[in-house]
Amino acid sequence: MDYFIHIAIIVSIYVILGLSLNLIVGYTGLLSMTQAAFYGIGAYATAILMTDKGMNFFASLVFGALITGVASLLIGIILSRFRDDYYALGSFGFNVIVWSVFLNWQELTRGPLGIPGIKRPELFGFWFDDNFSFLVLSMLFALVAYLICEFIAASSFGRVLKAIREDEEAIRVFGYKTHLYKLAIFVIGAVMAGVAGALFASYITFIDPSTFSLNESIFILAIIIMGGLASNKGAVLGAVFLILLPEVLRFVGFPSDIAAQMRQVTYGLILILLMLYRPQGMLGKYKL
Amino acid sequence: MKKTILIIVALAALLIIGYGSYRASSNAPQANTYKIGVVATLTDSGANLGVPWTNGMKMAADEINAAGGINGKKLELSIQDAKIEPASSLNAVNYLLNVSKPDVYEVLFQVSANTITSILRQNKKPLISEAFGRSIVDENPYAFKGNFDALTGCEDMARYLNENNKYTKLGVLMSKVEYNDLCLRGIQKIVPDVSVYRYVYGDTDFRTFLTKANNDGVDMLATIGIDPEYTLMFKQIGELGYHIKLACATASECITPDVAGKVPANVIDGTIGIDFIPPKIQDTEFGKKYASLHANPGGVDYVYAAIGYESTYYIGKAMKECAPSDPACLVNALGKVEGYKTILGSKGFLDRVLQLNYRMYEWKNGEWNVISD
Repeated sequence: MDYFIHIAIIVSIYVILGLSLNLIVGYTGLLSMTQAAFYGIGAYATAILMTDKGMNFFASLVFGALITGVASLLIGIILSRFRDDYYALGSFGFNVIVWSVFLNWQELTRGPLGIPGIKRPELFGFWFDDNFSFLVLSMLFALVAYLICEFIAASSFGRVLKAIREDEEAIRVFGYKTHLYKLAIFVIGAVMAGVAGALFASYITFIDPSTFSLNESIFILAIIIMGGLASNKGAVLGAVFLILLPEVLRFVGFPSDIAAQMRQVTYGLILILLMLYRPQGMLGKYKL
Repeated sequence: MKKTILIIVALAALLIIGYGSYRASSNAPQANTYKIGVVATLTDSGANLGVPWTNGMKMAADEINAAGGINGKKLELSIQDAKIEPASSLNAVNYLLNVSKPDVYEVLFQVSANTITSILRQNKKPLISEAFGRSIVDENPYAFKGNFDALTGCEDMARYLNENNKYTKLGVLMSKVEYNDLCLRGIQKIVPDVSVYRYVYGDTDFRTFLTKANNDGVDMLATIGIDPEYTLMFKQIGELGYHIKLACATASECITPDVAGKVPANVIDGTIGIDFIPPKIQDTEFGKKYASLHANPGGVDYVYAAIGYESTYYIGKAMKECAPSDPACLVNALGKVEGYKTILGSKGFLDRVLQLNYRMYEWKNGEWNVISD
């Protein structure tokens, strides 16, 4: 059962990541490839505050989210100068820069050695040190993230975001300062990713730059494409599907000599088939 | 809507199949076999080492089972693929812990080792790390370390180079990965003012670094790399015409027969290396058998296959002292293991670190020559 609890924890962290990127890509139509960077900033900020400063997880999480918010604000201001494909390339560049900072600022991040010994959360003397209690905590965060996203999607703010995705010029004619809306949703999405990073660091208890590379941003993007853009349920389903599928394939009785390779091929094949027959994702209405 | 329902049904089916398989496998009897759980990279970056490493283990396990097994019971390997990345490694070890339930765990890369060590320590399960770092031995009382030790190995190599005046100015040319950080720390203990040139793992063009080193007056560059990196470094030093020699940790990964065939002799002659792998391992009985089982093995394949092979033998020997599913006994037995079949000349564990026979080598006349025992 512990194995399923572990997988459920990982799923809940990726649900937050999927929801956060869905706000930016799905609802607003900004093809951002920086989400792993914000995930990493949240993780590193929390890990450093907990290990070096001895701060409690929840205080570190708040500071980590704030630091992520400030970083995303600065990055977002620069990115707001880009549009369409150039936006994607610009955000791609920021992910590479942030990853390089994790790798090279050794005095702060320990570079490739990573940060070990990160403690689990503690609240009023209660330690979330068994996986079940951590699952409850991470699912709570995922639920709050989902409710926030649903609230945003249903609000007038969310309607402007959708209008920006459909026709930014038209909405600007009506006097909306679209760059502020885009910046706001970019920061909100980044802060949510930072929270996911804090949970990840505290759960795994060890972080290093390998988790926060461009590949991770692509994986998070794949979650929302699979689940369906502009659908919060889709982001949840996408995370469940993409995390669970390779784990389920561990149980398939492939011949032991080629089991790992077969697992990868099957995983890839299922994704190709899904995209072939359901290009808008499982619950989505829009293509990328 | 119908499609959505179909997708949800398919997902539910996957869950049910998965849970059913989990129940079936977790209820399987464990007492009739000894099991080694392996977290290895078989399909991603690092598979060039992970695949031969596990091949070596399989070869040893087959030999042990053909000779009657361990205490009359079969030795099984449960190998789980994981990327060199924390979440993936943790998924693999959780699967092993809860489904395969092996007696002992093995891991190859430092990131994976750092990730899985805390959960295995909590569960008091023996872990053998073949990563180049030894930090997990300090942090986890149930952990053991095999393979090269980057910190002390590079320190020993730098000491040899320093004491034998092998350079005028020493530099390091290394990727930004954890084992190189440890190696650099070891070198800096002996040569604090070493010139440092670091690239991102996966880079293939070292000309800028080599030119900088040459301009800085560096005539020897210490490095830990993998064979494609070494091949390119040698090739580019030759192209640029610089008189820079490499000092490699380890020798067997530095100039493999493939490298020797591709790089001019004047570039590689004078290369220094430290290693515990016997030279010409491909010509040993082990090497010949490995080549008969696996098509066209390269130099690094023999090295990692030998490491996996050796570990399976010393684990198997320690298992003889214990009943299956007795981790406390196995930790104790591993700490005292001796008299096992060895091709690397290891002598069991001292303070949970495998005692390997390090030698210094110099490449001359087309082969590695021992210059210091």
